[in-house]
Amino acid sequence: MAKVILKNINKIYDNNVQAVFDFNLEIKDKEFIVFVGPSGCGKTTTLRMIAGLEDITSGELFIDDVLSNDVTPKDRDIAMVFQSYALYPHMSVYDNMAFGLKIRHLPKQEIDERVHRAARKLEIEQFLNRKPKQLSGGQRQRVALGRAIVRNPKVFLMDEPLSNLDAKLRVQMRSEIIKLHESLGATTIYVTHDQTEAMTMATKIVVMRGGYIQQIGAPIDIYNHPANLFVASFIGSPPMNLMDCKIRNGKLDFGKGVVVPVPKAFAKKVESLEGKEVVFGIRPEDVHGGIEFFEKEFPEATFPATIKVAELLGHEYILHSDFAGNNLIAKVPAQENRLYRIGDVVKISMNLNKMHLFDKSENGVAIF
Amino acid sequence: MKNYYLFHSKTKFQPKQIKDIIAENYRDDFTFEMIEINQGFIIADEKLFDVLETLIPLINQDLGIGLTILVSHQNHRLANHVLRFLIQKGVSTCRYLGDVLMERLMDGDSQFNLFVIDEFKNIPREIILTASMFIHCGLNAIKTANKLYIHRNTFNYRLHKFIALTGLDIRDYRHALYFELASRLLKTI
Repeated sequence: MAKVILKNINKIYDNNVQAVFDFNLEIKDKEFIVFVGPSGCGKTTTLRMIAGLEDITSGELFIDDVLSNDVTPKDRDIAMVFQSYALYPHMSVYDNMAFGLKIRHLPKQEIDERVHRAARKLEIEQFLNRKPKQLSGGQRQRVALGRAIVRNPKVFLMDEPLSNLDAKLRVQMRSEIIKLHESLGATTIYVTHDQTEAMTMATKIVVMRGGYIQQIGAPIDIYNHPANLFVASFIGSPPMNLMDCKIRNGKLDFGKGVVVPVPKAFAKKVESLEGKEVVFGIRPEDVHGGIEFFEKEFPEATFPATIKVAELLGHEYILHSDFAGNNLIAKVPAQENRLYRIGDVVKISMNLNKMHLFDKSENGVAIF
Repeated sequence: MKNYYLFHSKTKFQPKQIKDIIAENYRDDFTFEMIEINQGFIIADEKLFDVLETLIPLINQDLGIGLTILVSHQNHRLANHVLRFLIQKGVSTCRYLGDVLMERLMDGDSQFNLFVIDEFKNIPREIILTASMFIHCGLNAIKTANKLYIHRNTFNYRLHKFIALTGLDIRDYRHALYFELASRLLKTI
């Protein structure tokens, strides 16, 4: 397996549209890296440059310390799994998996061993004689993974491999890919627009927007310490509650007479922002309903809220209410004897120890 | 409906390898011709497009051959210019001529316009008019004949003549799209 280094990578198309700006990243051996971001953020373009399917306009790509900008895709020792589970339509599953090895003139016995080993790992041994059209979407995707595995590549590249699958199968395949990564220990670069996939699968996430890296970090770090407003709103479901406020006398003034003091831990930082307009952020799970501890701890951040929407997810409710003219989302545990309905008035309190503040500028950089 | 699949690879390859893979995965008849060491064309119907879309990443991965393919109704100057344009972009892809031209026009790029106009300069005006009206009427033959005050058989005769002269079977969406762009350009001159 290998490490991959991208140094000052830029991609500019002929029509002068720049898709990727100054991309810098060091991927360690055996890491599972996820590029995540909305459509058009440059994540697939970056992946295709690593694969050699797109030219690199400027910058350097190293695979295992070898400068690989001009190395052909075949010689990069990389395997790619596509969204469309690309398989030879008229070849059997066995032949699909074996074809790349036959081309490389590997001995027949070794090909057979590799195909069967990969098929066992992916639990598709019973389908080896079938044609792709006789397989379900999930099975086809496993064959596509199998094609990659048999080659023992240095790096696995996966371009939204689960987005063609239905929701239930996606969850199942997600855990299978994680298990596969554990057992193969392969360096993997995975592209998705789904932040849940990114959070659950990655050892490190690269959040992208408009061709720029917004933040690189472990999923938990990105979730707890988003670098800017974009990351805060993109990572997490439901997204972080974000509302404008002004720092007045060391307190958060949300307007409409709603003023909330900040916990001691943040007092000094907030003092230095006196008079400034900022964006206040709090995750829905840090907004509680009817928990006495938080009501006592943050009495000014406790208020009676009228429920506008109540979504029951089984184990929890997502409650939408109003706070100083902003939509406030709370995640509260569901209890059998407590049903929430639209119009109910609930005591809501925010755990301000978990609050975030962001600069109100265009980039919305995190203050804390 | 016959299409020309013009292909090119930046790396040299054994034509037989590609031809065999296509034959293995596309069971209908096709013609495979090499023009240069890394360039050629295939003549086949529109079903080959789906097969090639699937095969391009696989061929890239298994054989290390990055194929750029342009699907056109003719193997003419315009198609070869557009293929060269796609090659410069350096992307392994399979694209229809009309799709590429539409993108170029949307980007304000007029480099191919004269080639498009040139293609229709020798086609009789009434044939062009009939084909344009057919597009305008949403490919509805009866409506087109009514609008032009011609008999349905006359319409059929002219449509087949248009197809024979241009190679564009505008009853197919991809060919219709290309001709729609072309007829708009023709109106500008």
